[in-house]
Amino acid sequence: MIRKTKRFLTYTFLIASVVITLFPIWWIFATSLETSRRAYSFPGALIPQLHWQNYRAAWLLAPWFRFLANSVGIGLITTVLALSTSILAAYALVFMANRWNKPIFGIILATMMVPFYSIMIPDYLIVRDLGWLNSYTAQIIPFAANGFAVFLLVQFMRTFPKELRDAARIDGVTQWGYLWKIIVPNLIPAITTVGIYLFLLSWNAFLWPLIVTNGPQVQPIGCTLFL
Amino acid sequence: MNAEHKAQPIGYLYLMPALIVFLLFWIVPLMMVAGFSLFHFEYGTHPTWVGLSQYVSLFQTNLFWQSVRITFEFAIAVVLGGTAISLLFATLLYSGLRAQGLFRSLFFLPYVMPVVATSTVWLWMYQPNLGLVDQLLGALGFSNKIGWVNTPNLALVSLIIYTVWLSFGFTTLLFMAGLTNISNELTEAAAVDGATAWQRFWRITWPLLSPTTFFVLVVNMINSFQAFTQIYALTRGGPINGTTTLTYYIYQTAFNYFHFGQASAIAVIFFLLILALTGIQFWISRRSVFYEA
Repeated sequence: MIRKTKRFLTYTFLIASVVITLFPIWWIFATSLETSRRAYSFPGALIPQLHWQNYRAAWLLAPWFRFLANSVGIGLITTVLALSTSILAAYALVFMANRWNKPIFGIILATMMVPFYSIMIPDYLIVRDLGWLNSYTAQIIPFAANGFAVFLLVQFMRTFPKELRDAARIDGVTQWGYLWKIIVPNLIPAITTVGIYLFLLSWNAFLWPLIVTNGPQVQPIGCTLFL
Repeated sequence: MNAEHKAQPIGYLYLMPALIVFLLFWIVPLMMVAGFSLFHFEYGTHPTWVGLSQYVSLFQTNLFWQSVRITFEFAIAVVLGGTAISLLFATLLYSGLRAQGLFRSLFFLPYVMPVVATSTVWLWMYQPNLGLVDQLLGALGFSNKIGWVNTPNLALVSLIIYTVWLSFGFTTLLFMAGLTNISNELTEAAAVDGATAWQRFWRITWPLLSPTTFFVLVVNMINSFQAFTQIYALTRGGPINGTTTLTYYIYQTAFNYFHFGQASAIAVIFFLLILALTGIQFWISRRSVFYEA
C-alpha cells in the first residue's frame, strides 16, 4: 500500500515537472498558430486555433531559407573540416611515436581551457586582416580544429588493440591506409559522437557571427532573429 | 627492431592542419590579447603603450567589480540550483521507474533547442503585464506586474531561472549515467540491514556518486561563467548593467565602445579566472572525490 502511494506520488511529481518544463516550448508553438489578438489574452493561447496563415506571413517576412541554408552549410563544412584535422592529429599522436608528441598534445589540451571570449578581439583583427569579414570563411576556419575533439579521439584510439597495427604492418599496410581503412571504420560511433558535438557547437554559434558578419547574405539563422 | 619505437617524422605532417588552426586562432591570439592589454588601443587608432595602467583603472572601476560579482552570483546560483534539481530528478527516475527513458528525453528537450530560439520564448514570457509569467502571477492574486527582465533585481533571477531550465536535463542525464555505474548490491545489503532510503542515499549513493557530482559541477560552472547568448537575448546586460557578466562586459567594451585595449585587460582577467577555477576544481577532486577502486 505504502509502496503504491509512493509510486503514485513520484509519477504525479514527475509528470507535473515535465508539464512545467515543456510548457514554454508548447506555448510558443501554440502562440505561433494564434491570431495576434488572442495571443495576448490569457489564457488565450493554451489551446491553439490552428491559424496556419502566420507561417505564410512569417515566411514572406525575410529570406528564412537563405538563413537556414547558411546555418546548415556552415555547420556541415565546419564539422567535416574539424573532424578531418582532429582525426589526423589524434592518429599521429597515438600511432606515430615522435619526440614532440607530448608537448604538442599538451598545447592542444591547453586550448580547451582558453575561453573564446578571451581571444575574440585578436581573432576579430586577424580575420579582418585576412579580408574575411562578412564571409563564410570567417565563420568556418577558426573552428576547423577542436581541442576537445582531438582529446576524445585520442582517448578512443588508445583503446584500440595494438596487435592489429602489427598484423596490418606485416601485411604491408601503410600508415595512411591503416588510418582510413581500419581505424576510421572501426571508430564510426565515436566519430559520430564527436561530429554531433562539433555540429551543435557551430549551429549554436551566436556571438562570433554577430561580430564578423553584417549582412543577411552569410549570416546563420540564429543571428538574424535579433536584427 | 620494433618500428613502433622509431621516430616517424611524417606524423608532424598529420598534425600540421590542426596545429595551424590552433596556433593562428587560439595560441597567438592569447598572446596578442595579453599584449593588447598593455596598450591604450581604440579601434581605428594607433595603440599607445600604457603598461599596467588599464588594469589599475579597471580595479578602480565599480562596473568591473560589479560584473565580477554578477558573474559569480549567476554561476553559483545556476550551479547549485541546477545540480540539486537534476540530482533529485536523476535519483527519482533511477529508482526503478518504467518510463525513465521517456522522462529523461523530455527533460533533455530544452537543452537541444537553440538557445537563441528558447530565450526568445522566455523573453516573451517575461514581458511586463502581457507576459505569461506576470499573467500567471496575476491570476494567482499577485499584482506585481512590473516585468521581469526590466526590473534591476529580477533580471538576474530571470536569467538564472532560464539557464537552469535550459541545462538541468543535460545534468540529469550525466547523473543517471553515474548512477548506472553504482552496483545495486551495496544499497540492497544496506536495505536488508534496515537502512532507510534517506540513509542509503546519503551514506552510500552520494559518496559513490561523487566523481559524477564533481564532473557535473565543473561542467556547469565553466558553462555558466561563459554564458552569453541568453544575456544578449533577454537583458543585453541591463537594466543599469544589472546583468553585465564578465563575458558581456568584454563584448560591450570591445564591440560597442571599441576600447580594444581595455577589453583585452578584462579578457586576460577572465582567462586567469577560468584557469584558476579549473585548477582549484582539480585540486579538490584529487583530495576529496571518492573513486571506487
